[in-house]
Amino acid sequence: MRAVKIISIVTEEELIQGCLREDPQCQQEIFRRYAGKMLVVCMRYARHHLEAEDILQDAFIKVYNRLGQFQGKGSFEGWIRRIVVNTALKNYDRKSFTHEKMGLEDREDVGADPHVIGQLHAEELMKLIHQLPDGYRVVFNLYAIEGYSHAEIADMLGIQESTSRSQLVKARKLLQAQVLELQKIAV
Amino acid sequence: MNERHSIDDHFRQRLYDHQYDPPMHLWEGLAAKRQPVAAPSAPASKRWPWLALLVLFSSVATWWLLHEKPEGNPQETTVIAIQQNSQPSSPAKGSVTVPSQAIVPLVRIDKITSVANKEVAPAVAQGGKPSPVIQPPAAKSGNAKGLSTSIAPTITATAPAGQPLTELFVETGKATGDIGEMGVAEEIKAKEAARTWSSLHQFAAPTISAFPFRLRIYDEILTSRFRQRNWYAKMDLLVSYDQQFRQLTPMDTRYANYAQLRNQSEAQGAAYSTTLRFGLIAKNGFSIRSGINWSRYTETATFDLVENPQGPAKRTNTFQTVDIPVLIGFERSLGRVNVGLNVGTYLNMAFNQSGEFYAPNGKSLVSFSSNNQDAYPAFKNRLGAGYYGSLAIGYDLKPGLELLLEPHYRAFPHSVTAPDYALTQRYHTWGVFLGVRKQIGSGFAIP
Repeated sequence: MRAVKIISIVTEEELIQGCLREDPQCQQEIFRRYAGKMLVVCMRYARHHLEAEDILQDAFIKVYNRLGQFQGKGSFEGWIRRIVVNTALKNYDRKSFTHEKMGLEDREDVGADPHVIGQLHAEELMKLIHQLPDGYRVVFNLYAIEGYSHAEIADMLGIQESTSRSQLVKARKLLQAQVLELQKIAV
Repeated sequence: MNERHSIDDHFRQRLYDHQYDPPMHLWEGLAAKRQPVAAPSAPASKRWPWLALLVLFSSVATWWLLHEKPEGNPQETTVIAIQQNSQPSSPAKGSVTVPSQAIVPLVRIDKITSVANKEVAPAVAQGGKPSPVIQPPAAKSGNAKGLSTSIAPTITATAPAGQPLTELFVETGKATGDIGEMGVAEEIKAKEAARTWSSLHQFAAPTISAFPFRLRIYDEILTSRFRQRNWYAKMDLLVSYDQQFRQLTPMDTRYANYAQLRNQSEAQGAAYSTTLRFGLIAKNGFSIRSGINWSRYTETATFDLVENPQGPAKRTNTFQTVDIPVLIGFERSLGRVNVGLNVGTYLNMAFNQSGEFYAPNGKSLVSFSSNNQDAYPAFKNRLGAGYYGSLAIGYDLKPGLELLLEPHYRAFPHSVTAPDYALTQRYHTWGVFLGVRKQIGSGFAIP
């Protein structure tokens, strides 16, 4: 426990330097600091909890192996997050983004009450995201939550920008429909 | 153009910085994955199959070698006579010198290291190569000198290499009929029962020290006609219906509900096994067996998913193993019924799966089929070593063929799941093999 206390006051820069020296305590501390947040990222992309844990492990192995490439230009957390997202995307087949249909493609935008969405907890939102088909979920995550543009998403996934846009629209419709269902249940 | 939607912002605000407790249980696995490879040697789990194959092939090779009959080639025979007769005979190729009264163990000389006795030399020189000439040393004198005086009429015969020397000895005696009142064959038969290893040893020890040859005594004393066949080879072909038992245990308390969900949704089904085994069985009942076994377990899974309007869906999950059994045992014959006990190990060569189970969230299904690249790798490809024990009851249908009933128990102590899967899953089975056991050949002798 004492070792953990001591290491918790070490700066990020010192931790990175420690990891570059293959110091296991520094490696563990980096994992302790960022793994909880990155697990949420993995959960949003993965199909289930076990896959998320696998992604997280693979991503952190890459983080340690590529730490020398981190130039300190952006935030360290952002750099780790990009690695985690890219690792998660490797689990998806390109077909996932073109062949999925939920029967909701031609529906009108239902426009769920923003107030209801605002009242949902993070775990409830996670559940809603999980109910999306793979393609919708990935594009929605990348665009709406990570903040990538359609051009970047198209580049990352090897799809057309228009495909990314349409997937996003369908994902939103489906999420809104799910929120409406929740609204009905609540009423 | 700003394409952002209010729903996007809601999700981003709530989820971008959302975090769980650090999953420190993953740290050990992560640290292990990052460990540099210390040695190039294969891990123990990967060495098992090769070791098992080695055992199998060694057993088969040993059995084959013991059964191989050498080709008759006189030129390759290195047996020569020990001619110490006071009246030198003409030791042609394959000559046999037989005393008329002394029926005694034969001496076989594998290789000539030097020729000190001049009477041996012609036997070698004539043929250019050593010839199979046999002479029984003196029985009663017990030394080389005694041989010279005790030997009486001699007979000769051609001795093809590879023919058991005692057989030759017997046949020759029959052919000539002039070696005493009692023929050699009859005399051998008469004295066969009286021979013991101790008496032979008493006789041979001083004799051998007198010759400058490397001798292998006794080797031909108990040749096939006289030597008891003390090992038998048998083959088993068996099928079994098994009852399987599964243990699902969560890796930690967080997965207790998941374990419960899987237990509730999956029911144990039928299991079958087929085995082909080869065994070497000693006359005293000791046995060693190896071969190959294929087993198939099935489980019926029932999934009640919300999005499935047709109601609960059923799937049949299958698990298949290919194993190499390595068993030792003891058998006893009780008339037409043979009873035996076997214990040993089942070395798993392959473990394949096909099917689906609930994901830990309990709301979706996960494929774990080993032939599906996208499936979750919840299971190992090999299971290591398992334990096996059985009681074999055979009934002689006819000579060399038994009907076999073998109740057995088998357990794999290690989990069949991958180390980072949330649950450990262990199997043990019991069942009854039914099949036939066939003897191969008529047995063989191992000194």
